[in-house]
Amino acid sequence: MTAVYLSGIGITPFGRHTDTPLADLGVQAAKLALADAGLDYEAIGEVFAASMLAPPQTALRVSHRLGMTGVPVTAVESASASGLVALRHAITAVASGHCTAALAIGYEKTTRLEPGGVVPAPTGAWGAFPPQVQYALEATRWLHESGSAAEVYGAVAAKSHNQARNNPLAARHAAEPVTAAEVMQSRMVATPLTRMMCHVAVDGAAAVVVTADRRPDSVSVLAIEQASRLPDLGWPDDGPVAGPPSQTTETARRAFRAAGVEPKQIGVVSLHDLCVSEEVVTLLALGLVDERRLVELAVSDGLTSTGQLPTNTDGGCIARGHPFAATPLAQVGEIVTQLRGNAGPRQVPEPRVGLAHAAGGGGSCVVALLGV
Amino acid sequence: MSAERQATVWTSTHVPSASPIDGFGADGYAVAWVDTAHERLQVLASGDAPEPGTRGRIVTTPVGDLDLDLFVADAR
Repeated sequence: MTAVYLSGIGITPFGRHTDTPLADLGVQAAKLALADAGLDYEAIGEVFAASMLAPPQTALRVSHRLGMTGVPVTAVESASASGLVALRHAITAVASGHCTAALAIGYEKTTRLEPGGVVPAPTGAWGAFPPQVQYALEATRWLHESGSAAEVYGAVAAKSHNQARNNPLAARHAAEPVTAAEVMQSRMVATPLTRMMCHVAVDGAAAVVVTADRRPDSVSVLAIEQASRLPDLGWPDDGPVAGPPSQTTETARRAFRAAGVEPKQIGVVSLHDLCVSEEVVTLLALGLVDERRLVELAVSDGLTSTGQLPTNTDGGCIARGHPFAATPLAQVGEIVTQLRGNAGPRQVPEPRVGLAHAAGGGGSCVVALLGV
Repeated sequence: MSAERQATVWTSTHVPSASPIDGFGADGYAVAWVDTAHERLQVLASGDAPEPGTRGRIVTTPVGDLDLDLFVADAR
């Protein structure tokens, strides 16, 4: 693809922001990203702003707070994939030559709905059931097929909680190192998934500046691919909130092909983990590891920052937190931070290529490959 | 009421909290993906979460104003 760079990132603390208006969170993240890029808002030629629950016109309110420059501002909604969908639009805007810099912003308040915000009404017979049900069903099946014990999930989730202890922006900060046993003993949500294996819904915002020119600390966009649902006879039409693993496989295949990158080159991964089983299933679907090796990595710290397949080094949705539309841009922020070598105590040793993955309710999937 | 359909459990889970459906699963409930002759379906399951491979049938059961498709395992 035409050379395009991610040159600035901004992430607010994830957690409870009860008294902070949603637009303020978006503005805060955008200003952090602009400062990180060394650009003024006047340099931005187009804005794509993502949220799932925001009141209508929030995108314009956020952008007008940044400056009345008259640039196109587009609101994006694709559930938990929204942020990466917005980023793909921003990358396309720059790659097409429409502008030389674009801004992708994601913001969400999930702990208390913003006045005027939108709560999706349950649709269909399954709309009122918790989304964790789908991931618990996948979890049970994977245990059955692989012959693994549920403690594998405990180990992967413990890894995420422990990674978050080194992320000052994360929502969950365990005072002491978390063990797999502790994860297994927490309250059961849906067998075999316990509370500590499931995401924590929080408030927060994140933003990324895309540029046509390479700037200090820029990271290259190698590919970004997005897919809607594809036929999969193994996936019920009614019930699951998100698409099947085969959708992730296809999206990743397109991204690897577009980038000319092999899965074995990936040095750091940030994937959507509404529950820990999604991390396991997605690592397999991305083609980054086979089942036997995945179990070995899970129980031997192989998914930590210093492991062989560092995954969700910021704590993921389980511990960093999950402010829906903002989450994917925070994931991209983590990959950029890792590729820059700025991740401090959670730094992966010299990653060259990173992968960000998002999967949203309704069946949207995005895979981005970034490199130095 | 639709005819009963034979089905085999592909996966299942038990949720130890109240179902969002009045009159069903107030103390917890099970959900399963089951294979019929034509498709894989997500259905509620009677009793505890059935193991993958469990054979049974899908029974349409009235609960309040709803007709629920419920997986019922065959007697062993």
